[in-house]
Amino acid sequence: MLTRRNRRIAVAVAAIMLAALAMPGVAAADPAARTGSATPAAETACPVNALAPCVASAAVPTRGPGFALGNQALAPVAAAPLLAAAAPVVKAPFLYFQTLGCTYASISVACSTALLGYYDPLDNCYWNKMVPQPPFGDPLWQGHTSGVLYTVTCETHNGTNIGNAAATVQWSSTPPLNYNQSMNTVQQTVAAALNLLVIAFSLAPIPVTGSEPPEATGTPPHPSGVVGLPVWMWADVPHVLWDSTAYSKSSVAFSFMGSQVDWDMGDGHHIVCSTPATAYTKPALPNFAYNVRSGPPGPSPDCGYMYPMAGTYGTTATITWYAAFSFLGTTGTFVLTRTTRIQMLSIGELQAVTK
Amino acid sequence: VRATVALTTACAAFGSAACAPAGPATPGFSPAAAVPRATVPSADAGAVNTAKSAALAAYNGYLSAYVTAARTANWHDAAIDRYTADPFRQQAKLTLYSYAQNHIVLTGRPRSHPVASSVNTTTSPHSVVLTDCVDASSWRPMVRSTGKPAADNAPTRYAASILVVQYASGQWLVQQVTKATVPSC
Repeated sequence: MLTRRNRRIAVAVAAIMLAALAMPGVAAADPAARTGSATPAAETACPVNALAPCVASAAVPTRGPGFALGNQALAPVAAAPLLAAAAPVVKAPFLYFQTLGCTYASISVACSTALLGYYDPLDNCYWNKMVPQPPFGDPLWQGHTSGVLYTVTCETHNGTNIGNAAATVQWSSTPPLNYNQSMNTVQQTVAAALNLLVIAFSLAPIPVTGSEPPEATGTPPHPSGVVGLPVWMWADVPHVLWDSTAYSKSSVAFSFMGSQVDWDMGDGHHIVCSTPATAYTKPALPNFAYNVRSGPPGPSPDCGYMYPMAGTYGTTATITWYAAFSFLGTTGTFVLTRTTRIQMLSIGELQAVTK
Repeated sequence: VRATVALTTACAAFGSAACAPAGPATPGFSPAAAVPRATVPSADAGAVNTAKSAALAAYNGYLSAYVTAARTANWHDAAIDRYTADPFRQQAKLTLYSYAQNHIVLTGRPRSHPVASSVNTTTSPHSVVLTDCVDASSWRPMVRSTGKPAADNAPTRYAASILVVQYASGQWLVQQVTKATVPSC
């Protein structure tokens, strides 16, 4: 709410990291660890954290492909001449726009109705301008002498009980996002804005955390852990892609408000975390973005998992954002979800320690 | 940059279909919003009487329009708009919408006895608080498809407070309504 109506662009690359944490003592005693199969995940090279695109700092500048918006593929946008030669490397956006429209608890809802008004996905409520507005001085204004009063209906998930929704009156100095815009306008605007977003992503400075550590010896084929020991999951999402901090550029502005990260652990369990969570990492050296050995032992404080059974699991993470844009005088929102590529994770048996 | 005025919860106050429908849609207004509109003894008697008459006409107009709309659970009924303003208008339509969704209509009509209990014609906006004793015993919900009475445990008599406000157009519109959950008249 606080900043979403400001003009802004969030520019960054969201990198997802998953690290399997092995207790140092156990790992050292585990022969499998020495051979690499139970090596702490983040000790190894980029593929270990390959839930995220690896960003190669020394590679030749390239451009990622365009985003897909629903079924409509948006072509990559040509680089601006001045910036083309010096553009930093950004790997292909690793996920796709999957949803455009209004949803409540993953259920599609109308973006506007004659009865309720316009849906604001940031608060899951319908906003309807009161017509006529009460004269200033009416207690409903609560002392305000400008702005607009709206009726707000938040019972959005059950149509037959909508009559039970509490009636509220809310004052706002600016129109809610998505307010009084046809979906056609919103979609056109989103499409146009996403074209610019492609530019923004392409030209985004590479986050330090996305740089690729050097290859380690004895690299296992994929990260690994041990049954019963904590696995930490975190999404390396820059602040501007989570907390509505934003960046403005030209006539388009974006802000992203993170909603959740849904970790599919590959064994039938999903762990849904409401934040990008705590990384099992400390920047140690300039060329080592992650140093798993310096992290704290024990389970993740906010987003972790323990595999109950040994096996090799294909894990993915799906991030959901609310994205707000302001473009050519139009504001709107859309829900943006991105899912990582599958990252295989080997979970071994602790009994190996005793062999 | 948003401020919220919580007005009411619905079920007990509105008697919507999901919780034993009966009686008119009567969302409430917070007492705090109405309190400043006290009668001012020094107000011009003619203006006070005019305000009372206009407020009563607005309320009676609303009630008549709502009774008609509720016969078919027609939440689109524009007649309600002529006599009401938000937030009450929105809530009345939400209640009618709820009836429609639950295949409920209201038959008959209530007996209403509104009187003006306070009038403000000295500060803007002018407003009148009405009180009404509504007898809804012959105004009951029924299942539209069968014509049989719908499940109903709402009181058949209840007291209501109605806030009617004069808007910039000069119109007097029913802005907020509260219905006592316990019959008191």
